[in-house]
Amino acid sequence: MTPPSQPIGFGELRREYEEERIGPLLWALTVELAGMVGRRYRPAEYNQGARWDNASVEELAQETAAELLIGEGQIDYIFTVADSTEDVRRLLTRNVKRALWRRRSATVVDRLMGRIRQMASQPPFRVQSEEGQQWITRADEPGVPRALGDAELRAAAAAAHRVPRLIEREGAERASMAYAPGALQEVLLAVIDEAGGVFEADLVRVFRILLAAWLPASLVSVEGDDLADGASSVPDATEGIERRDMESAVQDLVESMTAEDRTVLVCKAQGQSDNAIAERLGRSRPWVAGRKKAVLDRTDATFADRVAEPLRDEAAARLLELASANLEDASG
Amino acid sequence: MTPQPGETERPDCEAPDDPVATGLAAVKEELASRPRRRKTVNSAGATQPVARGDVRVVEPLPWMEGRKRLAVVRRVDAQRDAAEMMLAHPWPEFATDTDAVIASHDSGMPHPLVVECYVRGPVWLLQLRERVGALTESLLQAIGDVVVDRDRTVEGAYVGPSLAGPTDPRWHFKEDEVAEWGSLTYDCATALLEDDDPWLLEPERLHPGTYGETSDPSTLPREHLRLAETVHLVATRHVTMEFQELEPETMDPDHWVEYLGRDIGVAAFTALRPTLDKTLSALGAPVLMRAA
Repeated sequence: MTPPSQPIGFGELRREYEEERIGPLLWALTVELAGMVGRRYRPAEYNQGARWDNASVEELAQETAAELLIGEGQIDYIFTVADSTEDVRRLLTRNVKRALWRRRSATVVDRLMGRIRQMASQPPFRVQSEEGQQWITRADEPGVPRALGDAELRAAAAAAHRVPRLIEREGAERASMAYAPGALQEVLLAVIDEAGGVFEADLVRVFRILLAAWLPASLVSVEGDDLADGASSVPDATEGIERRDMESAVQDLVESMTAEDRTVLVCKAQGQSDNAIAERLGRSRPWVAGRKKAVLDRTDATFADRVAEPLRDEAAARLLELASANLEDASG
Repeated sequence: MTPQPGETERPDCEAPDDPVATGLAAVKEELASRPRRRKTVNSAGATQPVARGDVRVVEPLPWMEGRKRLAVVRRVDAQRDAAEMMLAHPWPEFATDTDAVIASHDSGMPHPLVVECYVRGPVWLLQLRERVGALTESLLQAIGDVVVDRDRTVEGAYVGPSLAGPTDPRWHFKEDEVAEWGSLTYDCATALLEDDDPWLLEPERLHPGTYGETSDPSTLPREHLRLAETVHLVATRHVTMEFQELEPETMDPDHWVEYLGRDIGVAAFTALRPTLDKTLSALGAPVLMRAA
């Protein structure tokens, strides 16, 4: 007869960590949290398209344990600062989310590289094969093929960082393309101009650095880490009505905007200067300043009129998601 | 016993073909291939005096809320029993261009260290626990250089991409970090900023009856936490009180022992006595207290 299961105390977890770093208790906890967290994310982007089942949950737990808890020493950090089982669960959850982000990032980068290969085969770019690797440069400046060091990779990423990304949509039907076509060309040019040319493999690494600032919010939030304790919240009826009103107000607002308005909004949200936006749109700086004021005034008026105050932050985030999605759809 | 929400059931790893046991075997292989990285700090490091470059665990004062966090010592103010610290975490992808990332092979720590150079502030030395790492002076210099001059290549440290406005998910992460650090530094920062501004202490804080009857110190009941807070306030602030509000019991060590037991009663009376003496002497009153 199996004895009834007992809740695991923090003392037991700490003892197991000190003796073997990860033993049966911590492993079981990692698998449990991988299931709770992983199943909330779309299989298409976070589980290679396969539905979440016990085997795939365990695979996610393995990635979390091997690459992060052991490979990065995160288990040591956890037991440096944790004071309770709840702390251990919260910090393990953060690492499960980081493993999911790595999967997500790999998918997005794969897609970006597919687009880059098509783009680089035409002017103003040039691709040459060098010992089985593809070296991408400007067509008129072939450069000397060479792998980039860590510092050069980060410098290349910093140079490309000013190019605005499309904003990730939580729960979107399909994965975001991350960069509109024109913006992706700007990224490639920025990297090549900074580094003098780039191997495909290094470009993958540059994208991984760039996409750190592009994580879906739910993979980052601290509150989300606490959700792993099984708590759930059910919105009441009033909140449901207010949320529908908010959604409708935001959709009307986005539809009333021109493509240039949306570009101004998305770029300003990413800290772009009026000058940079003006250059991007082929307009003057005062024109951009005027559009910015008009868009923000209209947004303020709509929110004040139609969005309940507690939902205004959420409405602003939703507005940016929809404006970004609209630009993405328009660019194909 | 049925586990409550948030609790974890004990796994049964003895069952044949148990997936938990199978998965654990793979984890064990991984552990064997990557032995535990030894910290550069020897066992004496836990009790060494706090020094610039130390990576220490900062904990909230026992009567305040907050989570334990790692932080790096910038400088120590021994006179005020305080240290200026920079918050740190181990997640490189959350680093912005104001955070310096140090790989574990450079810091000697078991995990990456992201030093949040602009999330800094003072904490009391009593909030610091064991030293878990130590950054060399050259690494500290590298952290400063790389954050000030972000395009420069600096040996040993690098920064993350700049924050891309409020839509960047790291924006909220950073807000949470600042809030969490604010709760850890609040008491010390307030005391240092207010410096010699007088604090008027609530008179009941100086009455032993406020802190309850003698009880088991190991359980550290709420009353004892409040007593610890009073002792801390008196030690770190310029405290004053109204003479007429002082009750005679306050100045008798026997009453402290009666209420709180010998160990805690004597310790509390001894800690509070200078403040009581100061109040009385400021008023020109005779010193009525006996030694503890």
